[in-house]
Amino acid sequence: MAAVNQDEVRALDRVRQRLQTFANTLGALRQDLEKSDRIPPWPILSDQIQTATRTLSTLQETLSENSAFLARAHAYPLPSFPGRTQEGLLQQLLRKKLDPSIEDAIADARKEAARFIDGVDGVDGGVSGGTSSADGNEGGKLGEHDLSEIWLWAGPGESEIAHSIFSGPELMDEDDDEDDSGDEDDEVESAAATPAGRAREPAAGNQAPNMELFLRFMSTGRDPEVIARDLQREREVQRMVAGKGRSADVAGRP
Amino acid sequence: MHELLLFGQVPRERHEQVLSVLTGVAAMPPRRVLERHVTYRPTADRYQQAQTGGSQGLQDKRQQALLTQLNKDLYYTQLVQTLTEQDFRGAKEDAQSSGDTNVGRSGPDDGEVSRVQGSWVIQFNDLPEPGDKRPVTLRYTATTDVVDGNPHEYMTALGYSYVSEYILEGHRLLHKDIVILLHRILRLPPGTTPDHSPRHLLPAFDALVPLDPSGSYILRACFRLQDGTKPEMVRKGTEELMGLKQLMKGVVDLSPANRLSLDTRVKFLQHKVEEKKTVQLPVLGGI
Repeated sequence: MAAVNQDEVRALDRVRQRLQTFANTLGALRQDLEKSDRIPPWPILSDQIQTATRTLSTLQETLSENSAFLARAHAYPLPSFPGRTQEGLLQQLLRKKLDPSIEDAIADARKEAARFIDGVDGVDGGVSGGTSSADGNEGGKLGEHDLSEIWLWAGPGESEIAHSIFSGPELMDEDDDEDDSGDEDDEVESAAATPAGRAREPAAGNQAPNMELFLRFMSTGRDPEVIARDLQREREVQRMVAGKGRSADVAGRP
Repeated sequence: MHELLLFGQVPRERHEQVLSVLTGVAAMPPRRVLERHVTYRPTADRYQQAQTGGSQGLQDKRQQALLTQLNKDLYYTQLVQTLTEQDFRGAKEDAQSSGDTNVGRSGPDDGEVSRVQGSWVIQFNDLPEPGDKRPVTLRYTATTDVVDGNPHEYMTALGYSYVSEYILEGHRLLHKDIVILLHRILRLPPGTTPDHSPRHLLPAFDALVPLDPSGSYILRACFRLQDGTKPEMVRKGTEELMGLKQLMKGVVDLSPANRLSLDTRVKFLQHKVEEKKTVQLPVLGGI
């Protein structure tokens, strides 16, 4: 057995880091969902899910880059390993099979998938090979090709629906002054760290921005477009004030 | 009359579901609500006539204070009419007789007024009381029934001018002492509203345009108080609303509204600036 070289150690370490990030992201999302008094606002949830997806895909990249080594790698405890005190960890490291609960979950998922996806065998939990999946619709089941088509459609389709539901009035806001740059700005905003979004939410009085617009319209009957413009201006001022406050804080704290 | 309020927003997709949940919570079938809200604004030059004396007006300081007072706190006021679905059928006739849709007009074909038959009330909502710690919105509100006569002419005579109108559509339920209103705002189709008076006839219901393009609904929970200055009643109402909020947790997020978004005060910006000028000039001259 060849000893583990530098590169391989580094690969292991990278995988560990990625796993850690992913676990943290998921943990934070779960905590937000479970512990917070109300469901977090959509932009924050969407950001978190995006982050989780990103970390998951980097993890997958790292895994597939080093797949050759990782497939060969096995854990052998050295004689110096504190086997008595760390028995639990040792067992965990040496265990080749998955955790029973995870195995069950995978089996369940396979059973579900076997109902409509070709090439998945739900009974013994194994994939029966790519022979039949290439040509697709055997017995009305979906082949690999159909699946990838669905995903290609579902991604943009879903985001379009979400966009129209959640950002309708916001788009209306931006129609006036920033026709072309509006969408890009949105992306930049959501891609920028979540704290910015978090800081903005309470400023709007814990209400969705369009709620504010409706209430104002109901109170004054003014033209909604004018109200939207006013709101946007107010929000900008608030943001500026908040920004100044922060920079003053930083300046005051040498 | 005071009211304690909580607001929440329901996406269109979940409207049916939330309505079912509310039906279960309230243990009563929802009542359909159709209302027409016409907003009026006090005219800016309402008390200008009294001021035309220029600097002479300043001699009487009490009068000046009174005028300032009169011009300072002016509020948007609404006329609210209860409607039924039948009121919306007049779309076709309306297309023919478009242009002359003044409620106040009297003439041989004035019988059209009776086409929209619901009774009117004059509704005034004050700016909510300040207080960051209160978990609900508290505001003064007053409604006066219009028993007879033409409400639009009445408002005009009072020195109000027409701003706009909208249709409130939704369902009302009662849970304990809380009036729950799940509604959305519909606007009259663009281009069909006259500038100075409410419409005579209403368009077809399907022609109305939701204020929110995504079609979301607003959930309003309201606890009404005869006297909002009694702390124990306010506390009871707040507790009941908080109970509802807790009950609806995960279904709809209920929260107090931003105080300024319910601001019904009229802002006469230019007017105030002018006022300041006239006050300052004589002072400078005196030095």
